Amino acid sequence: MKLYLYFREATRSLLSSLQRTFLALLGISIGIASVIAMVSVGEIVKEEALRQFQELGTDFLVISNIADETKTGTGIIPLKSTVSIPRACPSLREFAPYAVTFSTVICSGKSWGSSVLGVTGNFHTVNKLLIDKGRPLSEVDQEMKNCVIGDRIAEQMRQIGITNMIGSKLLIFDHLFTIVGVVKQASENSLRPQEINDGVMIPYLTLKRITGNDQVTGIVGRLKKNTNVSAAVEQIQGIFDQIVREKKPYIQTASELIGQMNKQMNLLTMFLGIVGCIALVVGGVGVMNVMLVSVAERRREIGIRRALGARRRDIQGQFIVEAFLLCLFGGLAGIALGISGAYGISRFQQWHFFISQTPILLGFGVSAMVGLFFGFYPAWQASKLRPIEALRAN
Amino acid sequence: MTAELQTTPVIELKGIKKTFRVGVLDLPILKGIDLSIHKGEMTAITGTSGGGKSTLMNIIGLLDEPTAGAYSFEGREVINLDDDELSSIRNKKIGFVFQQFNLLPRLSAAENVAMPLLYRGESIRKSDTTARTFLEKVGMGDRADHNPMELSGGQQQRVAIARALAGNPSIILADEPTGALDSKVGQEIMDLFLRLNREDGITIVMITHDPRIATQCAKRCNICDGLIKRESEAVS
Ligand SMILES: Nc1ncnc2c1ncn2[C@@H]1O[C@H](COP(=O)(O)OP(=O)(O)O)[C@@H](O)[C@H]1O
Ligand SMILES: [Mg+2]
Repeated sequence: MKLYLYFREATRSLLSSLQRTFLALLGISIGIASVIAMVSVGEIVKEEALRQFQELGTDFLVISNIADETKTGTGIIPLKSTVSIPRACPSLREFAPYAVTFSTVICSGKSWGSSVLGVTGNFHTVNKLLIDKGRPLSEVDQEMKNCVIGDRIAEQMRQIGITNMIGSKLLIFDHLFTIVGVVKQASENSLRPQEINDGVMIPYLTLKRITGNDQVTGIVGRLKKNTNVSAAVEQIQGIFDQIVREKKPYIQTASELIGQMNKQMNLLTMFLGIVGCIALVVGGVGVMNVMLVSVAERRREIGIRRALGARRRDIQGQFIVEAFLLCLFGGLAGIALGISGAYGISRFQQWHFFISQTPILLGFGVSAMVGLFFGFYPAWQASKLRPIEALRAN
Repeated sequence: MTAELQTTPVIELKGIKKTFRVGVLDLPILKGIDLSIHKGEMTAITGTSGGGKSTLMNIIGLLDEPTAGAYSFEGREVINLDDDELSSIRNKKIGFVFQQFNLLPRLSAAENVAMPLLYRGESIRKSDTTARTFLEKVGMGDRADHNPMELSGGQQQRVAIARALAGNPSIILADEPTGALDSKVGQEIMDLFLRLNREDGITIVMITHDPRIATQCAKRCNICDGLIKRESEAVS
């Protein structure tokens, strides 16, 4: 192998026809850039979608569709009948039933319609709610007229000039409640009850005493570590089959959802990757085209080299190195271009930008492959020219 | 005559035929060439244009294969050698000089001259030193770093001769080396060949259709109607 010779000849030839080289580089770098940008964007979108669920924790679980909407006011599952659930399902680590009703909330003469959640003392820990000001509700608050407000009510109070919300009074169900805490906005699209951001949370027993309504709307919970999730779901389903006949509760777990989402997102990434690869193949064909033209133009040079004693593999080596160099520099430019592209898109979409090594390795690997693959055929063509035919060419 | 019998010829052709197929026609160009070239000879091959001189030269130079006949190079049968072996013989044993010089345009004079050595596997540094020595020898020492485009025809041909010599070949094949030059410069190139033959004993086969060039060679052959005829004996 006379690699130094092949590199020297290839470099000279690439530098001697800059326009040709530039066009080939352009093709290949756009191809590589699209692979990298597409795969990166796929990964970023996936992370973006999963972040909200991961923040919630993979052990999170929510049971819904248990309230009877036709008979509002009269619950079909009273709170006390949910007590048996954790006993029957040992893999449940934490468990927080809650009730949702609706009420007018009045503050300093302003009134808003709002969801009112009756919650147990562990509701905020199970939901991993972050406290903005004050404190969360605890078991000590049961039957007391204390409340914690969500982000929307807090915003509305801010708009009417109330900045010091802790200790302020709200009129709910014609009862005066004291605000003890404000929760930070919880991310949407997660499994958490939607009403948290929009509503007011009051102790469960207070809600029961005021409204006389004891209907459980939903249950949030957490599973123990290393639990067989589908087995736990089946257990819970079994319990509900005994206490509710009319409805089939809907049980969602974060881990299953994340799994599904992972699958979908991987599919998306793969799809984007394929789109990028098509662009890359087009770029590769461009390189091949440039190389074939170059071989045709340089037949005489090939003939001279053969007369001077170059073997077939010397000719082949020189042309492959040429294609390889094109793809190497095209690849480097493409990686830079692809990363900038992915960065630009995430900036525009306000996603958290990151770049993993997968698309970079992919980009390098694929460009080297493209270089060798699309460089090989023209190089082989060049090498199989008979010396005399090559020399006779003009 | 005796010298010829004692040593193995560098080139020995027996009954070489070459037929080109053009469309449905078979064109016999060489119809049975017998030719021996011995070490130290300077041979001119003459003939009409289109008579097959270049065809013969390409066969001798292992760039093309004859349709029929036997060819031994320094006693070795070369007709059925594979491409790598042929390349190796061209690289080490044969130096080509072409009518159109055929220097590689992107390389300097020295890099052109070094090319056969690089294909042999020599280092860039070592082959560069050799190349410069040979450029000196042909009077082009001061143009070693020039590009072919910057040189006149005569100068380019000198570089090409240096390139043919640099690999220390057994034979130099020159196909109309003065054909693209005016007669004065052509004679200078011819003088260089004569000097190389006389002083260094270099074996040269030269194609020419110029009788003034041909008469300066001790041994002359003429190709006519696909056959070769010797016009003069080598003078020892
Ligand atoms: N590859 C080829 N195919 C067809 N005809 C050819 C080929 N090479 C040479 N010829 C023909 O062979 C004849 C001899 O050519 P050539 O050897 O170049 O002649 P010279 O060098 O004596 O002028 C010419 O008529 C030429 O057209
Ligand atoms: Mg000719």
